[in-house]
Amino acid sequence: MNLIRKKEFCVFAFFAAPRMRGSGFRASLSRFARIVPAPRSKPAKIQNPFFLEKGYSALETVLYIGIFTIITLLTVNTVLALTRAVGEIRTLRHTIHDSHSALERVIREIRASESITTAASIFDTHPGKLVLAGTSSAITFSLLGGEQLFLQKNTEGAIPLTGSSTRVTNLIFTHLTASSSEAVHIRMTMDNKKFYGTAILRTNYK
Amino acid sequence: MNKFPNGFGLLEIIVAVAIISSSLFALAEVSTLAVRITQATLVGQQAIFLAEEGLENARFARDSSWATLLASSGVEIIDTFTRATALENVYRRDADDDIIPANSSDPKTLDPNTKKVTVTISWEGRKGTASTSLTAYLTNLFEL
Repeated sequence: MNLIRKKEFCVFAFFAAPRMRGSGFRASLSRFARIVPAPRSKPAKIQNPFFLEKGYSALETVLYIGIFTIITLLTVNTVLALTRAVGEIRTLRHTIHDSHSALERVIREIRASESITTAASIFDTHPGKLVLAGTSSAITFSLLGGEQLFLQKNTEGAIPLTGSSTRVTNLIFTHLTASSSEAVHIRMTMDNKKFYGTAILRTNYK
Repeated sequence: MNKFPNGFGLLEIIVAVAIISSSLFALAEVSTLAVRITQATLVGQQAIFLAEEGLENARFARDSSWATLLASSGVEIIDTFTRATALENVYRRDADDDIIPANSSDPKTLDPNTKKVTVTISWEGRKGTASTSLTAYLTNLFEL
């Protein structure tokens, strides 16, 4: 059987399989696949009286097309749902990872710092800016005009604490003072999820 | 002898469609479940941050004054979360001053300068109310 004939056979097997009669599907296929040796001057010809003469009834065609449509719709729907789910999970995982690492870093740096440079910080408004002073370095947390949280140590280049795929749409620092200590309250909205944190400056106890 | 002399029957097609459909349905369900679990993880993380913040608030109240800490218990609503801060008395065993449960039968004494702080965050999950809590002991460091 040459390649073209094979293709014809496959197409027929797919659409006409329910209609084939004889001794079972396999037998039907093998019967259908019989090739009549053609004379040298003429191409080979498939002998299939069912396909050529009988065809389908309207009811069978409608039923088969209906089932085929249902399967196709289900498959497309599932593939779309899976794609959507994978995208959503990826976004959520980025939010989980970035919010955790960013907020933990801010809290740890606040706890380890000695004082807050209030003159250079921006409190109680978005976008907030927090400048911390340590023994040997100053650390700044800010959005730098965008939607990514950055950490800047002294005058070195800013390091992003959140990825480019997550959006910090709200960042507010609040300076709290008690008789014995200072603290910073953080409100951060990342991808429409709100995160809160408070950290006391551990090395600043009076 | 072939049991199915007429090729594909309607029953066979229906069985095949049912198998394919249930496989696809299972795949869709798994993806939905995965999204739900990831969302629950995110909400749980928000709750943990709120609980940590509650403990830090209690510590900050202690830093203001011991009386401020004693007045800091209560319930507050934060977005979709409820944060409850509870203070419990702390008892110490007379023999070694170790902290022991309030219902312990060992000879014990109430320590008025130590409090057990429990912050509980609760929220409405898919299967009812979910909660997480953190506990810490705070001592009156600055007014003794």
